[in-house]
Amino acid sequence: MFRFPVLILSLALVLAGLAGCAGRPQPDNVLVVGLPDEPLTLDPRFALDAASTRLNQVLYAGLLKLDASGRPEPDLAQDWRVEGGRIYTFRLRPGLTFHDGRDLTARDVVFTYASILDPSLNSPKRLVLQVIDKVEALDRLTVRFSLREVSAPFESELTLGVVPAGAGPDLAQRPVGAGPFSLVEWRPGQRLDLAAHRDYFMGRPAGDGIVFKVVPDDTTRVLELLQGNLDFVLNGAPPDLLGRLAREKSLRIIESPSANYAYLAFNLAHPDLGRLEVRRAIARAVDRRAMIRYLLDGRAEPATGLLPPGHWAYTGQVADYAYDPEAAARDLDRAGLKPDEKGVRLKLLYKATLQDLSRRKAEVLQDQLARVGIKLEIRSFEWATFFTDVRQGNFQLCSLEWVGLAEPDIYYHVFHSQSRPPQGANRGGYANPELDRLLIKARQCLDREERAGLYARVQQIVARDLPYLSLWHPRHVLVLRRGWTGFELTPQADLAGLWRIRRED
Amino acid sequence: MSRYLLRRLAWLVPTCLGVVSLIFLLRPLIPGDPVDFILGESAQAADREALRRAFHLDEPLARQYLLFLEGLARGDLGVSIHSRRPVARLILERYPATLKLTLASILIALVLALPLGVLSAVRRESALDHTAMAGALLGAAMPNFWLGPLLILLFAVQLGWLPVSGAGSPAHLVLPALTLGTSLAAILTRMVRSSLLEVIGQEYMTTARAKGLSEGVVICKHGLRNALIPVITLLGLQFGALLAGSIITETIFAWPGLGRLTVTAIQARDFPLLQGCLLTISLSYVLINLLTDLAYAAADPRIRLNRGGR
Amino acid sequence: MSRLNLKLRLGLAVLAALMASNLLAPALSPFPPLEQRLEEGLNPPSLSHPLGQDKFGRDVLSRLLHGARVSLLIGLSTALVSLLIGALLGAAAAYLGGWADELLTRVIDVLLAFPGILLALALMAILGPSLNNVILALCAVGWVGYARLARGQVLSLREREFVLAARAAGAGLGRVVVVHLLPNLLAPLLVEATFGVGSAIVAEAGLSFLGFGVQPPTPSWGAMLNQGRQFLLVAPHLTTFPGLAILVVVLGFNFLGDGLRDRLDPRLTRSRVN
Repeated sequence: MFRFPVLILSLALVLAGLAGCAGRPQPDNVLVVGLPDEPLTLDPRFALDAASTRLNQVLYAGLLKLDASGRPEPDLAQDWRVEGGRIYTFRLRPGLTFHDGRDLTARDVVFTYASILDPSLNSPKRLVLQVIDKVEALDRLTVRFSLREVSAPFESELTLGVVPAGAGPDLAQRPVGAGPFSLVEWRPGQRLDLAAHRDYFMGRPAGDGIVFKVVPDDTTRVLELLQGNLDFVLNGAPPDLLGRLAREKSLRIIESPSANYAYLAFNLAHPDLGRLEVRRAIARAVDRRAMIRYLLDGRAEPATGLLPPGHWAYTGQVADYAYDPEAAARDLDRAGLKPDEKGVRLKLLYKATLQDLSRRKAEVLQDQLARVGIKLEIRSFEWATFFTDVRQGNFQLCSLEWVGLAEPDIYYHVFHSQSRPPQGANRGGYANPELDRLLIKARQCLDREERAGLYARVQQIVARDLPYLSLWHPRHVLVLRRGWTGFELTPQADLAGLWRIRRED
Repeated sequence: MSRYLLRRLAWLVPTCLGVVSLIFLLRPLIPGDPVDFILGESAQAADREALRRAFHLDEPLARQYLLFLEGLARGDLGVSIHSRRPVARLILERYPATLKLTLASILIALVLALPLGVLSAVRRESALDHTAMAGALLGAAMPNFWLGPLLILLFAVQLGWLPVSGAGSPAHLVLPALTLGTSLAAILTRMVRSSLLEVIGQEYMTTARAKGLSEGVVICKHGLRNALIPVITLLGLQFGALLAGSIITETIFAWPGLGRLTVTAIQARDFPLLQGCLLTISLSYVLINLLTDLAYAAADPRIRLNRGGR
Repeated sequence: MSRLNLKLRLGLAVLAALMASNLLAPALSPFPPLEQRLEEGLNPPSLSHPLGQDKFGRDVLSRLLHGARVSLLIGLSTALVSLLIGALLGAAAAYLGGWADELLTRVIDVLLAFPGILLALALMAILGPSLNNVILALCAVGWVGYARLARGQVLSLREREFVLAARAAGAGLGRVVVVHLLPNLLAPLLVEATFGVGSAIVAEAGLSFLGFGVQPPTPSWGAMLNQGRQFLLVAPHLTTFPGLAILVVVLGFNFLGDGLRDRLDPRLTRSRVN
């Protein structure tokens, strides 16, 4: 009944026939990008997750885009003017087209923003655009925004992708934008195939298309790079494997400073953490450079505040607490936290996520803080539980990262006393009236130099008060296959830059 | 026979409903709000309320349960909170892939377990027996997330015979099925061995030998046919374990299956999607078990006669 | 008890080694398992660190020895607790028959149709990740197998002479179950439990992959294997040694179970008459 030899032989034959089906190479001028997650929605009015955002950078274009220092510059709009601080008039470039050939006009811009502001659509971007009172098309290529109040951060919000007028829920699966590439096919869970948009207003893309391949597992992604199936992996290779990848002759590693910020958050409602002396002691007990060297393969800069050094509003003239465990111990002594018979001065709870890096940070922190007598208990949770806890103020210490910081108004979102969840992200409950005043003033100040001065003061206050312990600004790390050229890695890691990537000849 | 069938089919619905109800029961205990994932961290209270209303999340759990049952009766599994697409569509996109993987794993498990089990039984207590069992157990004792990358390293990166991950050609199926199938192989081998041992000493076997048939034919034709019956039943039972075990394998191999979708649904607290996935998995499991039990009954006349009454 | 078969001997040897390392871990460990030396991270095996060092420079051998405790705890607790719950419920249901039996069968059906690992995930989301919750989650999924087994056995034993005799003599439910039924169940259940230890240890590794399990910095073999996974290409010793440990222990327990069953086989069908 079962002839084993035949069965095994046939299996062997099948396998032999399948051999050679490995790693089918892509047609020459098509880049294969590795994605860690599948995008959820390709409608920029709804996309919040990282994967969707990345795809939308390539599929859509917005009125404006951000330059390397975070300043807005023209994209679909060729210029704009501001009147009375509240009227923004944008002139669109002529001859703009969507992927399906339709013209992109002021009507589409108005539709995009009006639909977001429509409460029935439940768009997550509605909150930040609430400042818009009215948006209208003055003529075919001119759009006017009338704001309720003066808002300096407003321009940064206009990088949002413009969708065709009348676009419905279908857009999430079948996107139509004006970006350099258009969606050809989406195989759920597997890959997205994009083709070059010939009429892209900056010029026809240098490449023929892009394939986004979904590879959730870190190690598998690296193995795909090694086998030659992926050409482009941005921030998707574990730091410890970068050395191995660097030794591969067919790959090269490109780094750039980023606009990301890693930090340790304190819950200021906690009796001990609410005291500045204790937070200062913890700041001195943490060896950030060691963490950068050993956990991130050295690919990060120690941070002094939310804004990275390249940012237009950045200042380095702020308090910085160097690694000094003896001073930390003295600080704790002075604060009245003396060691008990086991050497423990203080017990704290640290909540981490399930991500590898998060847990490793936790373990190193645990070890470093133990040396000054602070006993850290680590509890790691999956993201939903973790985030719910943190938002409800149900934590003592935790470490997170802000990604893609461009608008300094983030300080309002994070540190203003009115910004406690769910209004904002002030999870630790920091409240400083002087800071509040400065933040509101900076919001309404349209003069960039004056704003920079205000935010310099803000950065100084925050660095002094330590509601967050600044850890580092990780660098962007791109693993790119040799033979591809033309992509510029910016701090925002904007993938729209892929329109220039092409095979070297 | 038909009465048996009807009775089993009748229990299908309550069993599957039981599975989904379990999630409803657990829901109030699980922390995390799906609305957070859609609207992000800071959202106006009004927006959150509106979204909760849109998905009936603001209503009492009992009412949501009734709504779900109502929808089910219409064949409507609801809409995924996370991606706002119909749940049924999402599941249909991923289910065939999981089915393929599961069936391939069973095939590989059988290919491994049958020869090893027979060897083990025939040469009982010998070094061969121990080695065969150890070999079979190897797959079960190695967690999938270790075995998988090792297989990739060897067959894909070093030898270049197979692709690393993803789906799209039969070659893509080999490594994930191998990873998943080896854990099943261990249990199957043991089952083949023990049921063959039980059967080997029996009368019809000695009769066959007396008739002059070679040992090989005796074992293969007569022994195995009867030993396979409990194996089939075991496969049915293990199907559920395979569906669940595919979660890890699907992640490692970027296999676009239902397992990963279910885990994502849990992580995002996407309850409609989770309910749909669970329903699909449990329905599959119950149906497969029904089929294997029917095959069992069909293969073994004694059972049929028992049911039909003497 | 003339000669213990080979499988049984191998299995017992592994068990003994495990127990020994459990007791002697602190004495045998060359380094404290939690001591970090970041600058020595990912070092391969050397004279002072025979099994190498992990990402934080901690000694793998010491962590492996201490991790044995955790893995053993998880394996044994899960198996024994599942066995107890399953055996009691299964035996009682089968013995009582009627609605109790129907109810249990339905519950078992539902739980079997529910993908085990997802139930474990849901439980951990509710209860939070910790060693005890891992055991709880694994038990919640694991008792079902023992219940089925116990039920099947009791169904066949129920009508046997010695049971009927005991009931005729006026023994109550409890006495019949505990004194007469359970001893006959014990053998097959125990065999099943030895397999259960192995699968619990592997399941813990699987849960570690999904992020649940012991909290850092406590070492467990499953957690070590999972943590080492990322370094497969650059520091294979981090997966090889915990993996081998799991392999040997699981094989050992499986052999123990097989050997036990082979040994007890003739006795399984014989009933114990008081």
